[in-house]
Amino acid sequence: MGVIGPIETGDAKRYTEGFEAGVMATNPNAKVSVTWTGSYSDVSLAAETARTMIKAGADVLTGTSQMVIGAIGVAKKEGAIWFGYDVDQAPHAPQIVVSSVVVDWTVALRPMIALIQDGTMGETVFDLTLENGGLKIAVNAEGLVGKTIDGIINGDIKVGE
Amino acid sequence: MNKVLAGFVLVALIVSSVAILGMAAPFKVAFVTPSTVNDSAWSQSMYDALVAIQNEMGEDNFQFVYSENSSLSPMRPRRYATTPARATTSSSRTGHSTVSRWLTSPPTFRTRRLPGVRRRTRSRIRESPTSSPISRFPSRADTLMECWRRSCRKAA
Repeated sequence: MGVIGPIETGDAKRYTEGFEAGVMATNPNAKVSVTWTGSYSDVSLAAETARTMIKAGADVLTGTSQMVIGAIGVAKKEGAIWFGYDVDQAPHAPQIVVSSVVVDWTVALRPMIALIQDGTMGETVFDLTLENGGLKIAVNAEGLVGKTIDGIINGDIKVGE
Repeated sequence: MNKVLAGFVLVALIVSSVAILGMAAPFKVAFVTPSTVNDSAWSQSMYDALVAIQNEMGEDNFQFVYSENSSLSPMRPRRYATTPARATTSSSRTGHSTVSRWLTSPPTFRTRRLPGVRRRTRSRIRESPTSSPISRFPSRADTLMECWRRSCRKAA
């Protein structure tokens, strides 16, 4: 598996570490390759990194920042699976995107606005979590996971009693 | 997974707070982003959130403008900080100058025309191209000009 990150800091670092932890919890024998490109916006560099990772045997890719649009294009062309981040990235490649971590900033913006309107400036840290709705998992309905979920719901896929 | 936002998103700017002629002033936000609002990443997620907030509060109560592809100019958030916005959102990269300014001196609110500022309208949603990776770096002309300014032509 390959992770294409911009700079090893902030939410990119957290996401990468979380993804690695998830992979290793699922399969301790899996190999995760992480590349920090040093750029948030270098689309071509992200694409080249993805190409290199796939050539080295990566089946699954993910990444953060606006540069990953290049990596998604390569993954789509090469048939590698992609996990998205920030927004639902399935529309770019419905065939290969499994799911995306969607960041909902309104969870932080609402209290920020209220604080400012009350005259309180700064000095408050807001967390975005799955629990408070700041992070959501958008499953690609057209992908394998989405179709599997739909199949279980409508009975096309039989599960154990 | 938690996501800590401190220093990442919102820089509050001081402004005269409440009433003009007995009516509450709208909450104004300036959004400065290094890419585009349809970049399928951070900028789009923040833009979507601002649109959602505006839909909740109404355009009379919440207004925002945005400027895209601003990574070439770290001074741009500073310029925003001199305008009558109540808050500025910016990425971790372009926001630093705004943070510094706010922490060291209260902003003034001179009204001026800002280059590259767009008032958010529904018609502009999703129509911008993806930002160019090249735009982050100074051009050769810029480098040469800087060299010339520093009188290093002889060294070159």
